[in-house]
Amino acid sequence: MLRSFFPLLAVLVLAAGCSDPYEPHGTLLEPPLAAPDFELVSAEGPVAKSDFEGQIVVLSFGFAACPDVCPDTMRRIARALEILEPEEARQVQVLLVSVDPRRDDAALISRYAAVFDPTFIGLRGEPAEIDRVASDYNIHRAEVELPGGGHTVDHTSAVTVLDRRGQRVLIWSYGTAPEAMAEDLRFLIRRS
Amino acid sequence: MRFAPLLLLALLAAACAPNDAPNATADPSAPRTDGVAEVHVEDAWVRPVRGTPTAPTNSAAYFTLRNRGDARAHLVAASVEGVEITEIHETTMDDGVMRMRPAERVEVPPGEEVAFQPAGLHVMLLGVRQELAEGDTLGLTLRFEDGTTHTAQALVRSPF
Repeated sequence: MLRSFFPLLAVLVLAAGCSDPYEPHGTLLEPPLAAPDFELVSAEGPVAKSDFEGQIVVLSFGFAACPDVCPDTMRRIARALEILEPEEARQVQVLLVSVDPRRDDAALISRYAAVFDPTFIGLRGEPAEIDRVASDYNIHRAEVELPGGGHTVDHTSAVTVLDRRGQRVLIWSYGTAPEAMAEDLRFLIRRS
Repeated sequence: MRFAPLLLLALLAAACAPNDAPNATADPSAPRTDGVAEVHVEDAWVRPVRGTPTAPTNSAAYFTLRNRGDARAHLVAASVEGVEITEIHETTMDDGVMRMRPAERVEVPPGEEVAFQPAGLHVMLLGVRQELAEGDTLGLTLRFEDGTTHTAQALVRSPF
């Protein structure tokens, strides 16, 4: 009886280990895509993407005047971090890059990001720098003047996730649930 | 034969009965059929934000408009208590690109509902110079093309 127990146990353990691999909710980039470094400005001073190597980076593009999709996205990400355990959340850095340098200075976008979570970092750059970063990360950005005055900024609403080596590894389209984001982050945290 | 005039009188009386309670005998929740829009504002909520007098910020109000009447209603303006400027906007997603544009006039067809929700129609609150904290309530006033207004209490809450 004992002789058949250990082989059976081994089979069960192997079966558990070989169970279905995790399927991310977002779009997994396999192999990861290059993510060029950038240096932008936060309220505290210059911040480079490479500063966060070793952490999972959640990179979002938005602007402070946006009342709808941008705060909705930021709230989803903040909720995802609330779902994670504190030691998991500590391994994730959220960056919000302003696509509206005309209106958002570093202080404003930093303050805006921090309202969602005090660890979120809002970043600003000159229009040419922002155009370059947006293009590097496949983010469309266009300022549109409004008939009544003022302007809005059309932009890609997807969120890009970088692995610990700073490469693009996952894309969440707008509308990804916070629970799904948390599961995907947990997967990336454990994987590396 | 004297029955006929009585019958005619009865029919006339029925036809001339006041029409202000069309659902008197019918289900009170059934749509109207008297050529009038009847708009209800449901589930109004506002995104929490932290504005200050020197650093105003923007927010958004969302709700569902339900038209129980049998005429179209057109929303043309909205205001929120304590907020300087409010505008009706619509977000559309075009191949993953978010675009937000002003919406001058939003139609609510008879018997239908129109949802103002994230990534769609919303009322943009501009220049909020105070904190709108979860649990606060704000008066929301909606003005329609026919001159009618509807008010609702909007709850400040997070969608998640």
